[in-house]
This record gives sequence, structure tokens and C-alpha cells, in this order.
Amino acid sequence: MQNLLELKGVSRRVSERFSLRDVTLAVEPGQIVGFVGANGAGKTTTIRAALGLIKLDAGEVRLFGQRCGTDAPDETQRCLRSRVGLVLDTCPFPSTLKVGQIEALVGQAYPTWDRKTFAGFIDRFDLDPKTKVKDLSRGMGMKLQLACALSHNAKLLLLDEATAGLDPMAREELLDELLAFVADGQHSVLLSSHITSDLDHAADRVICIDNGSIVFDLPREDITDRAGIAHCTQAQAAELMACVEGAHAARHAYSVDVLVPNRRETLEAFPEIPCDRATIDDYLRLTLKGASK
Amino acid sequence: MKRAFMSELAIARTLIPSIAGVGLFIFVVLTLANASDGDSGMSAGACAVSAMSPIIIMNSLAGYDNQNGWERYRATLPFSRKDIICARYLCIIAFSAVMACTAVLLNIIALPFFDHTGIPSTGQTVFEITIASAASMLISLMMVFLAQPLFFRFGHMEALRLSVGLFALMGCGTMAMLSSSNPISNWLMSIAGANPDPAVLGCLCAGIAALALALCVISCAVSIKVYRARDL
Repeated sequence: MQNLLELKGVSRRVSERFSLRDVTLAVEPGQIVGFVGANGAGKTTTIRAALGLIKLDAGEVRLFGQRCGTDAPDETQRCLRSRVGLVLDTCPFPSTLKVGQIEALVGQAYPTWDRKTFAGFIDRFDLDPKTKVKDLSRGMGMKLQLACALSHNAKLLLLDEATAGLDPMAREELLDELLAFVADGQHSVLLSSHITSDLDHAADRVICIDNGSIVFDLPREDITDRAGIAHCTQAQAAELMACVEGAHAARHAYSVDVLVPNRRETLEAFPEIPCDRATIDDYLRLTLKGASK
Repeated sequence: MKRAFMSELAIARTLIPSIAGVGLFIFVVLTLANASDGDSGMSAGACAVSAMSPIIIMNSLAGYDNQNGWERYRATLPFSRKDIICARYLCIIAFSAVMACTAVLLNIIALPFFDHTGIPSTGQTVFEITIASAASMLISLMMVFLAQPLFFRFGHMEALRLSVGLFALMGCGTMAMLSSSNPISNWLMSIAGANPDPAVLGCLCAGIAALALALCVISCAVSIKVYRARDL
């Protein structure tokens, strides 16, 4: 099946200190793709590139199989963007407008806008149409954006740090919505976040970006089910690092954590070394900060 | 483009109460203060409202762009950048026209109240008020068209600073042009001063409208070019 979003070799020099370098990623139908990385790693810039908001120095962006960029024809841009829903970390609507007025602002843009669906979400999310945007809490602002993103029959949802600053209940509610959204296998979500625990259960793939380059792009099971964290002494860590391809080590005061790509093989080869399942957080931390062979 | 315009109108609609309130206040004050100066003074309120509306709406809409990153979010909606720019120009023109028409209408309604000052409620007076308001709106729109590309290139705050400089420069130029020693000023006064010929006034207004239209097209083209080149 055709990828809903595809970035191939995207490069863009943003400033003296930061560039996107050869970013390649794909979002397949029916997937929730976690896009992780530290603050300033390039997540938002990549999403801006995917939406055609910035010019590229190299590479191409394809939305629903069609080329999409700042230079794409107007009609193509309109058509492709009408199938994308966006949720940002902060509520992007003018702060003096009321919740009820947002529909006139955003709904006009979409030929497929469904007023009933929007009203249903406003009701379900307990949003008061008379409340001003500036008076909404972070969670309510996110819900308002989500209502907009889900009311025009979008095929692809892009969430840029949408879970940042949300309480655990609101995060869980959001993740439930996302799981329902992709359940039919036709829709997809690209969820950028540095709260990796959100992705441990929801994501199908995890893509990590650091300093403008993709560091890894793996099925989530490869991280949470296959990989492991071995808790070793200095000597054990040295031995493990010498034997296991792709291992990364992080030293602590009295022990060394070693990220191994295959927990079972490691346990078989080194039964004396305790090896736990890795979380995405562990994987990210040790891949980015740990020392490799 | 229609969808972008409708979205823009959704914001403009929220501005109507505040701008109309300010406009009404200015209209009443200026009309009362200048009515004794004859029919040219009588139109001061309507002219002021017509002249201020384009600048106020341009600034207000640009201010909304800056709120909470709305400009960036809007760029992700199914509008092309050309749609966004054209919708903004259209919205400014439509809003200005509505405000000018309302101001003229108010002025016409107010005319009978100033009979004691010797201002006749004749067709000629109404025509002069209409032409004066239209000319005020068009001249103000031309200033807006000059400044608008700055707003799309530099954003609200930076463009506000630059446009104040631009308007000050234009004010100096206009004052120099209208000084009594200037032949252009003398020519204008001879054709549109006291007791002007309605046909001449109409032609003058049509000339200003043509100039404004040309400026609008050029400004819109420049804005589209600079906005397309901008990272959002």
C-alpha cells in the first residue's frame, strides 16, 4: 500500500548551528509512528518540511504519493493538505476568539468539514463554545485542535509535541483517540514527542532524530520486546561490548547499563548478567548518550 | 480563494464591534467639531472613518496572524499562499468599503440636524460627502497597499515599525506637495477647491481609484512573492 507520508533525503540548513541532514522516513497506512528526539533535535523542522512550510535544500516530500513542497502547484497543495490534520503543542488559534468561533475560522478551509462531527467532539471533550481560546487549559487547547483535526475526514494526523504538558489522564485520552483513528488500517499518525512512555504501547514504529539526522527507524517491538538493558559490572560490560554488535553502554557509579539489540540471545550467551526489557526511553538514552564499541 | 476569504472574514467579523465603536466616536466628534466649517467640514467625520478603517483593519488582521502562531497553523490549512494573500487584500478592501459606506450613510442621516449651520441637504452635498469619503478611503488603501508587503515579509511588529517610518515619509511628501507654493497643490485647489464641478470631482475620484487598483495589483503580486519565499 502507498505510504501516506514519505520524506526522502530531506536536507535544509536552518541556521549556523542546525540543519536537517538527509532525513528519510515513511508513514504507512494504519500505523502510529513515534517521532522522538531531544528538544531541538529537529522534530518540528521535519514536520514543517513535511507540510511544505519550509523550502528544502535537497530531497523531496511526498504526501499520499504526490510531491508536496513550497513549490507544488496551488491546487495540489490544497488537495493534499485537506487530508492532513495537525495538532501542535500549543493551541494555535487567535487567543481572543471563542471556541465556537474556531469552526468558522478552520472549518471554512476544508471542503470535507463535518459540522456534526465537530459539534460531537466539542460535546464529548466538554469544551464550552463560549470560552475564549486564551482561557483554555493546555489539555483543553489540545482537545480543541484534535476536534478540528478529526472533523474533516483527515487521512493523516501529524502531532507535534501534542502530549507535552498534559496530565496522564489527558494523555491517555489522546492516545485512545489515536488508536481508534488508525484502527481501520487506512489512517495514520505521526506523533512527535519527547515523552517516550506515550509510545511504549501505542506506536507501531519509532523513529529517532538527533541533531537533524535520523538515528534509528525501528518497529516498536524491536525496542520494547527484542532489545534489552543488561546491568553489568565493568568487566562484564567490557566483555559484552566486545561480543555484541550494536551494543551501547552507559556508565553509572557502581554499574554499567548496556543496551543490547537482542535480549534473549544475550541472556543465553551471558546467563549470569541480568537483562531487562528496554523501554523506548532507555533505548533512546543509551543510543544517543551511550558509548558504542 | 473563496474559502480563505471566508476564513479571513471569520476573524474580521470579531473586529466589527470594536472598530465600529471607535469609528462612531470619531465620526461624532469630528462631525460636531467641523460642521460649522460648511459642507467640507461636514464630511470630516465620514472622511476620517473612511481613512482610518483600512489602516486599522490591516493592523488588526496582522495582529491576529501573530497570535499563538496562527499564521503558521493557517499555512497548513488547505490554502495556497496566494489564496491567503488575495483573501487578506480582499478582506481589507471589503471591510474598508463597508465602513466608508456606513460612514457616508450616517453623514447623510445626520445632515438634517445641521440645517442651522447653513449646510443644505441637497444632492450636491451628498455627492461631495460621498466623493470625499471615497477619496479618503482610496488614499488610505493606497498607503495600506504600500505597507502590506512589509507585514507579509517581516511579521506584525517589525512591519509596524517600518510602516510608521513609511507613513511619516509619505506624510512629509504630501505636505510638501500640498504647500501653497507647489503648482500641483494650486492645480488641485483650482479644480477641487471651493464649489467644485461634480464631473471634475468624479473624474478625480475615478483617477484615484484607478491608481489604487494598480497599486493593489502590484502590492498583491509583491506580497505573494515575498510570502512564498518565506519559511513559516
